[in-house]
Amino acid sequence: VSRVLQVLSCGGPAWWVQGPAPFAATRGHPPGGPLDPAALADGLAALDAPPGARPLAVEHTGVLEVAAGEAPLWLAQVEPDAVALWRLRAGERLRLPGPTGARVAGLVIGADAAHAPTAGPWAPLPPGAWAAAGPPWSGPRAPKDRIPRPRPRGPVRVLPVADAGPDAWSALVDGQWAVAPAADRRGVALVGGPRALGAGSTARSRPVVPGAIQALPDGRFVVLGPDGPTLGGYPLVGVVLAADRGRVWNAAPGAEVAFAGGGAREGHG
Amino acid sequence: VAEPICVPLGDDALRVDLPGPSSAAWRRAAVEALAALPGVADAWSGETSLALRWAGAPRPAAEVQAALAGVQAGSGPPAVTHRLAVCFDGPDLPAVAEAWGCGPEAVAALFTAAPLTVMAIGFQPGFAYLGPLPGGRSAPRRPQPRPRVPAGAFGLGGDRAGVYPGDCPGGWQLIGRAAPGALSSVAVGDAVWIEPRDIP
Repeated sequence: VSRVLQVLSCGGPAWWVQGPAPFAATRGHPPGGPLDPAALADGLAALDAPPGARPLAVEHTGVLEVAAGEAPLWLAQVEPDAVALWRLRAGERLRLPGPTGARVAGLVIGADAAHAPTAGPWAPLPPGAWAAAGPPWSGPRAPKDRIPRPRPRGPVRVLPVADAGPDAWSALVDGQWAVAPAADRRGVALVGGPRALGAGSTARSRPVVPGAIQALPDGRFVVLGPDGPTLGGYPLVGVVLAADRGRVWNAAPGAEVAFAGGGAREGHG
Repeated sequence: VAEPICVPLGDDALRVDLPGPSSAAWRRAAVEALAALPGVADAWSGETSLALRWAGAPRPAAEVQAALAGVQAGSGPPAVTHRLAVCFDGPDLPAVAEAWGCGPEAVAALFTAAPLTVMAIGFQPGFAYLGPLPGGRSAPRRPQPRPRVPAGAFGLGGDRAGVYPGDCPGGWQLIGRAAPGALSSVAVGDAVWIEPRDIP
């Protein structure tokens, strides 16, 4: 089976979240990947994905209409509180709702991707696009319609970086923040908290990573996303721990977020 | 001898701040050495720091420092020479020429005297920081960044030059145009000869 899922229509921007990454950070290309890595993991778990499976996954910002291709398949749509499982017969259509309480909804497709249909870390998903993939596995061993997801609680954990100084760190962890409406895969700005003025900029751009929190010259903070730059000239306040990044990247516009110091894993630094 | 300082970037990456100036050739070799370390998914460099991303559990920083201790400039892959056709007709060319005390044609001629070196790659995918500028010259960033710089614009920022691979906001002084993807295959340490040319 080479064509397992067709996108019939998208109610907003949508994209593949997996694919070959022909370039690397040595050429300025960010790692890409899902806006909500934890959702991808939960979708795979709900599908009982075999070990080492390469998931075929989509993130979408509006209603998504899809159709199964030449074989039946399983879909796991990941919502903030639950994973909804769908079984499609060959050729059957499904209309999936858009995200609720999040910026994007994740959709994991129960098939091993023999050759993912993207040309970079991620790629837009136009109507009419086919997901080309290997044979689908048999689906969950114990199918349920909805599998609850425990919602992470508490502040988002950040490992400090001393570039921007103690005042910027205090502003970050003491402030009450909300996610700005204008956010994309490159970064999410924070609004509502105190501004950390005086952090300045570095003479030469230095390496940055997804999850890095930059202090801009006007005192605002920006959390870099999975498609963010690999070099940046603004000082870093800290870097969000990997497990918590999706909570910021996929937060609905206006959602409140708080930050606290978190430790690095053993053996690091 | 001062050692590089390792700064964890979260729980899956490490920045290595270099204690002093380094050549692009050394950083090219250093990135190769970092990428070859067990457990490293990706490695790259700025001009004053290196970085790596761990594929799994982070390794001790001492292993990173030890790997860099043996790096010699020139031990990495050989540098490649590229040619970059630039049409010197950017909106900021007159201002740069005036600041440099010459005419616009002389600015273009200055860039043909010696190749530029790829000092770092980042900011945008494929954006190569080229330097140093001819004769140690520089061009300050514009006080107000443009909301949109078109792909292919050839600009100057401080003592660096570069070609914007895609449209984006930008504060560099735009002095010309080139093909947007002209530098997509360069690596840190490569040489880039500028060739003034008319581009429709």
